[in-house]
Amino acid sequence: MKIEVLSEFSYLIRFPGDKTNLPEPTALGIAAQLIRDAFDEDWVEVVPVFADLLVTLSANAFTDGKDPQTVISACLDRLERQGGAQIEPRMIEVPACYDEEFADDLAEIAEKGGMTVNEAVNLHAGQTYKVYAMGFCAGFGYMGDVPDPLRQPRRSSPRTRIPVGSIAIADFMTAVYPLAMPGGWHIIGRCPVPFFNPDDQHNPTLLRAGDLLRFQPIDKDEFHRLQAKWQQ
Amino acid sequence: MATVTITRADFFASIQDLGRRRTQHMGLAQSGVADEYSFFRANYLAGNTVTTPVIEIISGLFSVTTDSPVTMALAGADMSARANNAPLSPWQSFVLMPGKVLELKNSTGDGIFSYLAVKGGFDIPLCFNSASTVARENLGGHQGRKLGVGDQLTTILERPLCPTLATPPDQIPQFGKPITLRLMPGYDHDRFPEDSKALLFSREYTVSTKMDRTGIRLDGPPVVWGQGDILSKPVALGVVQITNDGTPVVLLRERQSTGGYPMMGVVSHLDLFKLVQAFPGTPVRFVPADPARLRRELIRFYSFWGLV
Repeated sequence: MKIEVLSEFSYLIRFPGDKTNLPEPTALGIAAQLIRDAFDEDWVEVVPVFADLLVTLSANAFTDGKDPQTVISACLDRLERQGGAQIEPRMIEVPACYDEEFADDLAEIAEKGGMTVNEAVNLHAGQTYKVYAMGFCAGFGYMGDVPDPLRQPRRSSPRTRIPVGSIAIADFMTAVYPLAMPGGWHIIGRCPVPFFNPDDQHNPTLLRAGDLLRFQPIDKDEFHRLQAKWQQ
Repeated sequence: MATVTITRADFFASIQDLGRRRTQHMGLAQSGVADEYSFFRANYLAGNTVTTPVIEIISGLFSVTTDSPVTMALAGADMSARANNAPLSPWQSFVLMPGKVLELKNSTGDGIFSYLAVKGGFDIPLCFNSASTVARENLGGHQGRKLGVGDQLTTILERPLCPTLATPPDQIPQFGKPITLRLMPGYDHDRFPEDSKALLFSREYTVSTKMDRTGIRLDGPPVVWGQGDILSKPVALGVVQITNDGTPVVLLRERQSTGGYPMMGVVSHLDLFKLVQAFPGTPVRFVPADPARLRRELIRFYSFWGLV
């Protein structure tokens, strides 16, 4: 891991890895927590995204001759000593409806992968996904890895509005849209549970970087029942 | 308390403060004022704690009335304002009388973002510990959106009045001049071709018309990356990203928290306040800068305002 001074109050920590060999998101998640704990009142943002961790501190972290970089180094040393694998990531299961009503692009994805729609659903729902990063919009988790036969580049023309809860795939990643947004990913289903709830000011997002997630297939009746429950 | 009513809001005006902390790892925007100097100054002139929420007005064309006397302060862009039927220069506080109008008109070419503070601040609920509006999330500020005609904001104080102040001329920034952006090289800087780095630091760019609270695109010679897609990275405030067509974009407070374009580094925090006030066509040059030096300067700035 390499620590770079990024700006007045920010550092970028680079973990070894690239697109085909990503670092374990739990390692970045643990590093993030160690750094938050070490700086207590003085951290402003600690943001893990794929292979990079952004650390932004307050001005007070730099006054009176303090050197935050040595504190960050010590956190990374602790991470290396304890080993990222020893901490069990959170496993989240969410109901997922792959009915054609919610899955505009599923038939095309299946066809391009040379399989039936059912096989495509089983493949997508059979995988455990890692949350590599949160971003794009509130509560949106970049998750991977999508099984090879389902991988397709983004759509050439993005849709102007993707409904809340849509399950999408693009390249090696899958995601659930927490808000209605424009987007260029392929839509293959919908989740009835909220991924972003601003009424919960402390934990507004279902996901955190480093979590594991599985999709549990449900039919349309179950989808509507669960959606009604969550909208109460 | 006083009720301040918006009577004109043609472009984009919103409630802002210093924005959110500790939310980007959840994908939430940082948000907050674009020009901290003018924001702090407006609050200082209104006799407030300098981080009190204010109205940020982009490109003028905005007016308010009040139902009882309110001490207000206007700082930032000069929008040919009038208050109580008389011309009003920015960088001072004044008392808006009941039934009278504070009106911001067209730009004079001197700045883009104006800040309107009232004594004691407006009564705005906090969202993620900030009063800042994020229109694309429908959260924060006044009902999660930009201000519109007929919106009513109430002051926290029963009698929002205090003595009025003016700003010494040497502390009033001059907008509308060519800008030098001090850039701390970082992120993908070292992986850009030598020619591209040399180009960015030697040629003149100009502020384009494509600017909002998420970022400012610059016109000028395209900066070539030429190495295909890269992994998304966390995006700091002031990042210079290079889009696929080679356009440098300086990212501001309402940027997304992740970005997949290659990035050249981060612009000095203090220089961003000048950049956001610059009109389309303003010349911009980049010079490489040392973070340690800029950090000392930024700590002095926050000390001046009593925030360190």
